Amino acid sequence: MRRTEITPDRLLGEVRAFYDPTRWRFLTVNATDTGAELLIDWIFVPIGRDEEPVILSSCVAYQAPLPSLAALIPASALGEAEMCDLLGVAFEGAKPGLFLEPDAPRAPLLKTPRERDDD
Amino acid sequence: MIKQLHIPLGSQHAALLEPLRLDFSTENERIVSVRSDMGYVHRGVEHACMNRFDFKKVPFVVARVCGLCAITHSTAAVLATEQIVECMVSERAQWLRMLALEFDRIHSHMLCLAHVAESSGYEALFMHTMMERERVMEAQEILSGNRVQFDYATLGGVTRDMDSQCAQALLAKVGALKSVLSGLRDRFEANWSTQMRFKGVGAITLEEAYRLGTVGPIARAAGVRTDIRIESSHLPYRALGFEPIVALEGDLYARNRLRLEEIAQSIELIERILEGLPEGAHLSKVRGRPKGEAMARIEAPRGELFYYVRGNGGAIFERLRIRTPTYANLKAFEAIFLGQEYSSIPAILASLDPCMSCTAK
Amino acid sequence: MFKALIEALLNLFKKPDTLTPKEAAARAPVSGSRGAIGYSEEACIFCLKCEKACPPAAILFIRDAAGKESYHHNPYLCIYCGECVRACPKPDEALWQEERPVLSSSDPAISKRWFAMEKEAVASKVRYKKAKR
Ligand code: SF4
Ligand code: SF4
Repeated sequence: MRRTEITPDRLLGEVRAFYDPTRWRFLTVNATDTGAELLIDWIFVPIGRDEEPVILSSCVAYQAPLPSLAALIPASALGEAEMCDLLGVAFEGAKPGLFLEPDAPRAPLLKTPRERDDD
Repeated sequence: MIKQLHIPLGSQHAALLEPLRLDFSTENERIVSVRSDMGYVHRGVEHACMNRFDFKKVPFVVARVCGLCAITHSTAAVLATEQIVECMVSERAQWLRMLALEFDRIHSHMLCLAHVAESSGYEALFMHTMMERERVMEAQEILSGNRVQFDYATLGGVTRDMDSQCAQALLAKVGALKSVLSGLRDRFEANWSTQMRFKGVGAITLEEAYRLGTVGPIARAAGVRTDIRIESSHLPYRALGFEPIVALEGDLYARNRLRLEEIAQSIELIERILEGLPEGAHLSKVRGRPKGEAMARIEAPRGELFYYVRGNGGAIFERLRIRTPTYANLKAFEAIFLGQEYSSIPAILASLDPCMSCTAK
Repeated sequence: MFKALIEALLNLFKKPDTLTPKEAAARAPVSGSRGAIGYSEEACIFCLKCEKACPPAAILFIRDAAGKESYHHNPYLCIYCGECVRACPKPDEALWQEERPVLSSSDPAISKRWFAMEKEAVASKVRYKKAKR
């Protein structure tokens, strides 16, 4: 897996620069808890060609706000909502609740699950 | 006079096969907006695979994500894991995996076609399609020992080898299916009343299909030449001379036709696999524990299935991510519904072949 | 239209494609079908490989004070994947998979006891190790 390191504020610009929907498909956004921070990958795959996917990635602190790609790529909203739900990633505009019920554990895929702040 | 109506469909509904909720707003009969909600059957499979089950068991766990494409899930998990452990998979095992995948595609497509027929009010065609589908289910039992849960792909190869007797039995089954396929095509494509019901309904344009990142038969029916069988080289589909089928219209009729053609194509692939099956061991030993990260993509019956695994040398994965085809298509679903007649919704929804238990995993 | 009519008439005289429950029960299982798990204590060498390999942990060995292991299988938890048989060093002798379908003849109460048995399986091995030391 070959990654291109970026900073979150450069994401939209980078994507705009190469993303052509007839040549690339946005696969998904994925988050991984590495133990110290979150590794976020935005994965793009070529359509109809067997080539390397483009992976833009960025290591961020647990609750760092991240930009959303939804305005550019509508399909990304779902992936962002899922990551927000299961790992508590703070994507712009994403709310938890896609999969988990209101009384479920928060961000269960984190290594140290977040305490519920029952307000 | 225009009357505004708000109609929720689901999460449980007689015309729905899956727990999905769609909130429609209509003006008279025409749909003007739709909102979907799909997280009703979240079972935390990723969480289980990251906390409870060691990596050798994961293919069996993820096979339970979905009953229809169980083999695609276990194959994708296996293909991803094999990149980060020590093992040598024989050519024969890879071919057998393709064989199981193609059988899975046939039965899934037939199920979808049957449901389209049922949801558009053609009960007899539903029965007929399901009856013929039974041949594939029987073939799957001959191949793997079970009709639904194959448990066939495993780390290092496949769980059981195939002898010539089994190959003969499989050939006989697909032969029987081949002979009835033209009759089915006739009913779906040339029948006057089904044409009225299907043509021009639930269409998606090529631009929309690209913009919304559509995958699988829905994308191909709209003219996008995308098929993971040519986009990835995890499985040797190239050796079979595979070329994706593409339609242009993007409507319900095109999707039916595409699925029928893909069934015929899968039958052909199966025959080629059985003919040219290389010799070798079907299963080899796996050494070591997963270290590093890998991703795998395969073409499930509904489109692109993506697995990401990451191991840190322990027996349990540090991260496992599943992205299923319906998940990718959900935005396109909403776009397709807009402007349609409410009465066509069940048929359109069936033709989109949603799989919510995959999506909510 | 005409074709459909003829077909409908012909269908009236066709045998149904489905089986009655009686016919289904009398049918021989498909060769190679994955059915019930069989076990023979005489042949088993108690290597516990099957217990370790089973994905849903449907096989448990509980150790008594004398060190004797006893085999327990939960047919309601088992997914009939055959991993245990593949892991077993003496397949077909100690542990095997039959073709006959799994009948619900086993005791359903085993599922109720199963959680306790899981704990006992772990605890019994720890106990035995301690006693041996
Ligand atoms: S068949 Fe599979 S689930 Fe059943 S006991 Fe064996 S390993 Fe466990
Ligand atoms: S793997 Fe076979 S020999 Fe070993 S304990 Fe299980 S049944 Fe006995």
